[in-house]
Amino acid sequence: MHDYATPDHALRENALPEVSRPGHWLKSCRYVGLTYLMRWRFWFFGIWYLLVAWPWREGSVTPFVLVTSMLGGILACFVALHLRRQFATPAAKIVPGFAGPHLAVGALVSGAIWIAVPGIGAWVRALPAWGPIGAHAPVGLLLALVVCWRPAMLLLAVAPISLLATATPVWFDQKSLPNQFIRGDFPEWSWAAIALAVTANVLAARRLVRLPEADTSASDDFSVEPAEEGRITGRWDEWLLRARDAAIRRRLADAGFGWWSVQRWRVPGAISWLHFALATSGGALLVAFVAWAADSRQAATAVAGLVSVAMVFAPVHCWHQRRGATQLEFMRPVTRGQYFGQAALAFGLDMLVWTVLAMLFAAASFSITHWGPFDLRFAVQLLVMLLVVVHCSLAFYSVGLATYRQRYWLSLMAGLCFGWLFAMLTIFGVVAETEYRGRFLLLAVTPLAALALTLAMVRRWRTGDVG
Amino acid sequence: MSDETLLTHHVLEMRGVSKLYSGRAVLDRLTLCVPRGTVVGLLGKNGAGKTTLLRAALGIARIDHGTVTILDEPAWTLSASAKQQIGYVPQSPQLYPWMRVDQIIAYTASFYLHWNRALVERLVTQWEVPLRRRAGTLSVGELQKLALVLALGHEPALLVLDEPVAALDPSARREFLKVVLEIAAGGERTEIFSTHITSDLERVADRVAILQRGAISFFGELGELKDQVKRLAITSTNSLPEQFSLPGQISQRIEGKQALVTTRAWSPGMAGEIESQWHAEVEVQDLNLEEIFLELHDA
Repeated sequence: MHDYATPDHALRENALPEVSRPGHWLKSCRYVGLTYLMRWRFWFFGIWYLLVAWPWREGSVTPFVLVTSMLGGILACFVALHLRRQFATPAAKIVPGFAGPHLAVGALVSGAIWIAVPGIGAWVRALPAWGPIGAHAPVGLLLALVVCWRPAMLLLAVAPISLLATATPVWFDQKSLPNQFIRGDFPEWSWAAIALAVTANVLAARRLVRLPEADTSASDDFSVEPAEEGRITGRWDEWLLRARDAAIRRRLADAGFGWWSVQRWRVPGAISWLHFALATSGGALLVAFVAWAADSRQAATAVAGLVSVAMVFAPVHCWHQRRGATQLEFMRPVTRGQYFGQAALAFGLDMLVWTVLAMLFAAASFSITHWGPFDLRFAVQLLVMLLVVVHCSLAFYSVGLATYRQRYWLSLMAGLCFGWLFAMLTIFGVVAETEYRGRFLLLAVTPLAALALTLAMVRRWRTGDVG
Repeated sequence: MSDETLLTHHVLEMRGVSKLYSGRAVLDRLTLCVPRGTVVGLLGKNGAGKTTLLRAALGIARIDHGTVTILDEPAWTLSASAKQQIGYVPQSPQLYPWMRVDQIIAYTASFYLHWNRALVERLVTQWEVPLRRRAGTLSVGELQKLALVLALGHEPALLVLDEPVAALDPSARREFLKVVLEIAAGGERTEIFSTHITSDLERVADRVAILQRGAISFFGELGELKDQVKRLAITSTNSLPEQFSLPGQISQRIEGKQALVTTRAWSPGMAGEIESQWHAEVEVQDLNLEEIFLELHDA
């Protein structure tokens, strides 16, 4: 019988903090879980991830693992950003028992992405689990990296290029090293990769609980735009910005001349020849490296194609960075129709410049990697490559307009879906010299679809709120 | 007053304006007519719709009902020449983080036929806006100052400012208010600004618009508002009943024989009437704008 009259006993009874009680802990986990379930991006990409991971076909598993690991990487980045947002608040430092449920649910979600889904896939296909899980370990590693350093998301762009670096024949060859690894033929390497990813996640968890508030931005989208006040000083790319300063100065000097009504909207996004040179020389170096490392002209062609497509996305990125200034731009002395029409044209001009550059790069790379007689087959393949660049340009332009008022990641994902994926498939087709005539139809339809979407978006802008 | 004068008397006319967001009326049949050459302070609680009102006035936000005319043109289809006369600073100005301040100023100036470089240089120096730094490195207050400079550079006939001094330190606020008064001097320019800092509004505004539940509950001269809203300390010889009330009463507190009542329909004869009816002594207290605002919103 407890003596509640005894102050000591009463103190002991109440000494157990509420947060330590199991029921409360599970309840907290449930609420933390809801923060994931209430965000549609997790549903959208999660379902997509599962759909892609499910149809395991006979034959080489590698191409499918490529796609699932890329999608898993996107999901992992979202989870990492979500965790950063949760921990970079005063509540994370003050509320007792905050870290436990948040880390537990984060670990559960992370584990589901790069351990559970590949593990289930392995079980379905009667493969040893460590194979597919080890192949997805980079996804876990990426999550840990993004938790610690947000710009690590750029590694998402590295994945497709580095994967293609070993060329399509390798990926489709069941006896190739990547295939063997995924099938679990090298357990020690698989377990090493898994251990590395687990260790990275543990270290990332430690980093999270120490995350200072100033280390994160209010936005958790994919933009790698400068963070908030004070954190942009000493930027590593200041030398690039100075090149932009010169370009902006040159554009401003043209004020009032020529087609200034459209050109003035291009001033904030002015880019110097240095940027173009860096893009092309960087791309050329990458293609050369892939050609040497993979010892495959096909791999180099594939990478050249993807680099060309990435170049065409550059203006979408630049224009998205300035969308916060839309209200102020709209209040400049131009009518509503003039503003949207001129801005759309200015965006189109930027796309045109980068498209021409990308086409030149693609043509040069393709010509070099397929050095031989200029016959009809070569001409057709070259034409397909160039049309892919044009397709992506139109797709990115219309997607950029359609998603201009949305978060940056939406533009990125939409561009990925409608432009980049198609480009990758077509380039695969060109490289592997498989049947690709059917894609010409899509290449013909794209300009019409892009035009229709563009006109719809401009009309929507003209009738909706600005900013 | 002739018809032509009536036509151009108001720089902004909003009549029966409604604006809905997700089915909720942020502006509800709002009417506001701002005369030329006045400085209007827009007051309202957080979420009252001040920013939406200003955006609707400039044609940035599309209204669902009503009409908005600004500088004698429909707001939704403002001409380029009308926009030459408007300066606008949004609540959280966002510019181009990678551009330097001097580049942004030069870029903005390229849009306007008239740009007062001397004024811009004076403001930049006075407010210590760092010309060579990139916009992305500026603090919130510095960004606000830059946005103000950009809005003032072309000496607009109409200046619309959404919480312009929210992020400014007291010294910068004082400087800004001086500039506001300078611009308003002569009665040729009109200024509309929203603020929470009632002391600033009292210092510079000659008219006040109070936004409450999506509509303008008061619009008029500040002095007129202060004349209408008074707090009365009533001490009666007998206990005052619970139903005790006065015309235009906003709030009351009754404790036995004493009552503290705020009314928005004060008239000079009211005190005498209360004294004779309730055998009471009445002390009339003047309220400052902040107290009036609190009374109106807490009612």
